[in-house]
Amino acid sequence: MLPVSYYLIVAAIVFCIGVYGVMTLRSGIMIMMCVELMLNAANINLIAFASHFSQVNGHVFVLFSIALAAAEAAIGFAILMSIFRSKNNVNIDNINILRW
Amino acid sequence: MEQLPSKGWNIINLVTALMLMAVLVFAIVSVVGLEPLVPSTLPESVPIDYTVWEDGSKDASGIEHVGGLLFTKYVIPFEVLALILLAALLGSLYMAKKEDE
Repeated sequence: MLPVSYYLIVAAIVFCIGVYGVMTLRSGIMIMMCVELMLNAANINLIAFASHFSQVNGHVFVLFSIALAAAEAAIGFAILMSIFRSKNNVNIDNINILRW
Repeated sequence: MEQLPSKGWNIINLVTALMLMAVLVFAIVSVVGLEPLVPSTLPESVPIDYTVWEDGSKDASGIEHVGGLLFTKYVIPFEVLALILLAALLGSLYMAKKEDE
């Protein structure tokens, strides 16, 4: 069995890829994909510690987390669709309707 | 249409992400420690990679325990999650439909 630190380092790398994408990319869909990357890094951590401590609660929590991620993705893509209907693109530089 | 200066910001973002990764990896290694990936002495016969769970049973994946826990201890969060998924479905349908329908 792999030591737990390797799982944590993989999760850190995936999380940083997500952070870099959220900060850099300009397309709303790509930003949502990078948010999913960060979420899945947290899931990798939960699974790694659940396996390390031989506890099943972490697995169940990750199942809940994945389902909530699905709900979040559905809502996010619906918002992006309605933005695309009104502005004809999903470039976040053009979305400033919530700015005061 | 105003464009942010993307090229210069890319470098700054990359440096920030790399610094965050350095901090995270340093924290992980300093707290958990980095054990060697391959043990120095290989055992004669490689054992089956199972996990000994809380109740003493040996199972490789623990999926039986996950199912049991999901329908006994966590059954109320499970049902609430079904409602959340239904609400997300209805909300995304409402938000994604065309305005004039």
